Amino acid sequence: MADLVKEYIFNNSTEDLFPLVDNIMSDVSSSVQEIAARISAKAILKQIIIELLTNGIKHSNTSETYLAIRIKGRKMEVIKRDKGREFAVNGYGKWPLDKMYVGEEITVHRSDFSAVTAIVESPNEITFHIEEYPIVKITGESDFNSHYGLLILTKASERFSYSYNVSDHSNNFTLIIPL
Amino acid sequence: MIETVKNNDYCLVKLELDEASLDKADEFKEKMIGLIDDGNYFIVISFEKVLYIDSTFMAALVSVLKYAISKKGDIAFAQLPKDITYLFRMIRMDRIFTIFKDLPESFTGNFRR
Repeated sequence: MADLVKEYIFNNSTEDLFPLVDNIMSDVSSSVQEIAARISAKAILKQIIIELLTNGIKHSNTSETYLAIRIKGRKMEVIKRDKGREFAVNGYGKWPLDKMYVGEEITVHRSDFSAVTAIVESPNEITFHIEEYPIVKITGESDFNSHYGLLILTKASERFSYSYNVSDHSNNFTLIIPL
Repeated sequence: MIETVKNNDYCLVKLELDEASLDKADEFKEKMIGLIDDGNYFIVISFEKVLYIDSTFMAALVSVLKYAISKKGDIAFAQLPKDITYLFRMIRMDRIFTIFKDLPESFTGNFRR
């Protein structure tokens, strides 16, 4: 399969989010048979885009988000970049992180049913991982996950990472999805 | 945003929106809590018209579920579009909520509560 690269600029406006999602899905579906043919692939990509763009609205504190979709062979790479608020790793200071933290596993969110953790790959990069616990009984006291965005992005991809680019102060979320 | 219909032993809530998203989540939660406080403890939410859902709205659904359970009620979903069904299975929402393909004849809660 030939490489495909599509790039978009999102203005972090709620009114423009879903029209852009439609636009992206139309572009990718017309070029990538696996996306067009499989409900699961379409559903995953659509939700990844929704969550990345929503993250831009909620958390980036900036007016512009860059989104790129690259297809190389049997992998799709989705990159979201902005120059707003850095991803907060509470208790570990600002980016770039101290190199003494490399290799550490950080709990990002935990509920009764799952945990999203991050491994410090380098002072500039973390990768997200998920642990799921059995759902046996649900009560009014159950601690439910209230941060579905990261959970969805982590679960939907083969690799999901955040990196901070020191030279241009950009925040980069990258997902690798097998086709 | 929602249309409610009394249906046998539960209240049917039809989501009258195509974007179940972050700017609608708070209002949705408020309306649902109001319904539960009015005595509608068993609610089935129809997603027939929903094209998009985001994580903020999902969190609102879970929050409403928790409230319903605290009142000894329950929430179920019905008429989910295929892609949302797939999403919910992927993140195990189908283990937290009862999901019906079509509108059920009856709904009085999930035995796992």
